[in-house]
Amino acid sequence: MKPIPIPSEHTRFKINSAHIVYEVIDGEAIVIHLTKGYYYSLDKVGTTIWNLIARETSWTPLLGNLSEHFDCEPLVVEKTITEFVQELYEEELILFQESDSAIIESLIEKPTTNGTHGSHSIFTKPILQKFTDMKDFLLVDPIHEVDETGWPHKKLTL
Amino acid sequence: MIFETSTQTVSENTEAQAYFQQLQGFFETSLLKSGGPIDRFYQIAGFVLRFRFSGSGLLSRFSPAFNHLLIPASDHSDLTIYLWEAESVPNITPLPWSSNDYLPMGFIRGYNDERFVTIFQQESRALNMLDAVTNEAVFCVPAAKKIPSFENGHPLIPLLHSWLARHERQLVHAAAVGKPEGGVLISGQGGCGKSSTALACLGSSLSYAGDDFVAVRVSPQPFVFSVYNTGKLEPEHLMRFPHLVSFHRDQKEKSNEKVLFYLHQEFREEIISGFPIKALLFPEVVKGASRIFPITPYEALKALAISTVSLLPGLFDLSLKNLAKLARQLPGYSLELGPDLSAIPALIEDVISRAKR
Repeated sequence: MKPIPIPSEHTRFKINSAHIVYEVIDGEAIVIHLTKGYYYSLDKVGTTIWNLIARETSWTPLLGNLSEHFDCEPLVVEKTITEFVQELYEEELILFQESDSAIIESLIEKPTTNGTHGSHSIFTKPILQKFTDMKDFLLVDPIHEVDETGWPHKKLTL
Repeated sequence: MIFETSTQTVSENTEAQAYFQQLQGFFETSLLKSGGPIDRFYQIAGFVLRFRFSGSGLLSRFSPAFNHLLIPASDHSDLTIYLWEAESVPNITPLPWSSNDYLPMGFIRGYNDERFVTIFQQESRALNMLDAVTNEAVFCVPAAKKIPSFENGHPLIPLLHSWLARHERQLVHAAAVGKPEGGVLISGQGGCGKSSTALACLGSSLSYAGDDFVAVRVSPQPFVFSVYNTGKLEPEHLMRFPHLVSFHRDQKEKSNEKVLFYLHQEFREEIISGFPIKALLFPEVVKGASRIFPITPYEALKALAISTVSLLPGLFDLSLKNLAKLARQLPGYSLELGPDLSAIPALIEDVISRAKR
């Protein structure tokens, strides 16, 4: 099993857009993982983080933004956000990219300029809800064999 | 996107182009055996579609679902679909791809790009291929009789979805009832009560545009187009619809699956080709009295997306964006659907009049 990375100042986040589609409406996101056949809903705090990830924000500015935006002890924010981005990574909804440019970005980027409007909200633990009832539809068995006339058909499993 | 894109550009995908031409050649050869093409023209979602059948097998399976949209033969068509059975000659083989090239939802690796869509439907063993530049498509199956009966209710979904989406029409897994001045889209996952709600409106002042898949134009104002005149019910629910029982007997359907109705045959005057959408409705079967209450745009999008995105092959991002536009523009309501179906038309009329205010 792939180890779960720990975000650092070298980390830049990215939506796993080869495998997912998502939409944000009224401050909440719905995310569909097309290859796994799962869909997810994110609450408002989760969606705030998601929107920052969608801008390929790196770790330090992301933390800075959220600490500015939410009324909460920065260490608590850091711990909670670390767990949350790791959960998103485990579900293969986002990618971690390690690069030196993330450090440079953290030096030049001002926290409150990145979409959270600088207003103070109460910080609650972000929630990622997972639903599996699309799986049967999306994951149609792709394995086929070819019959004697050349037409594909389902591979029989014994 | 993993299911549908290729790094090949339109001009580079010569394999897809060559195979599409080969398939058209197979169709032409099939005409030698079938005795010539049978053309049917339909006005679907504002476009003229020509279905060119070789033989009567697929004609008799597919045309009843579209008969309410039949138009006289035309010199012009926006899309031509060539349909034939390959059981005898000519076959479509050898296939130019390997068994490793079948991707989820039936996409064929290397044969899908901006121009071409190539999808193999596992259940019916149908090969669908669209050339979006020439606006031509092929649909080929080993034998029409082997197509699962549930597909009679909504034929050609992969091709219609792939082509209509390129022309600002979104297929939505939904029923629709209303009047020329406005109506509702009724969506939700299978078994939520979409069909019961729509069929309960037969005989009321609300006309019927479909109960399974409809086409929607999102902008400038949401508008729904009927695609299929079919209705489906679980056999055990049939007795709740007395007006459909005798009709069902006439149709002589024999199946343990859902009972399929071609409503154009018996309820021609109650079918409507389309109307502006005024609200989104999401039924849920309950034991108590039927009632309606508003839901948030987020809840509406979730219900729309879950029921539609998983059933349509490809263009997932576009579909989700279109559904989100609908959820943002239109009021959404949850319909608790009780056993007394006679109350449903009035509740829907109320939703429509609320949306107009």
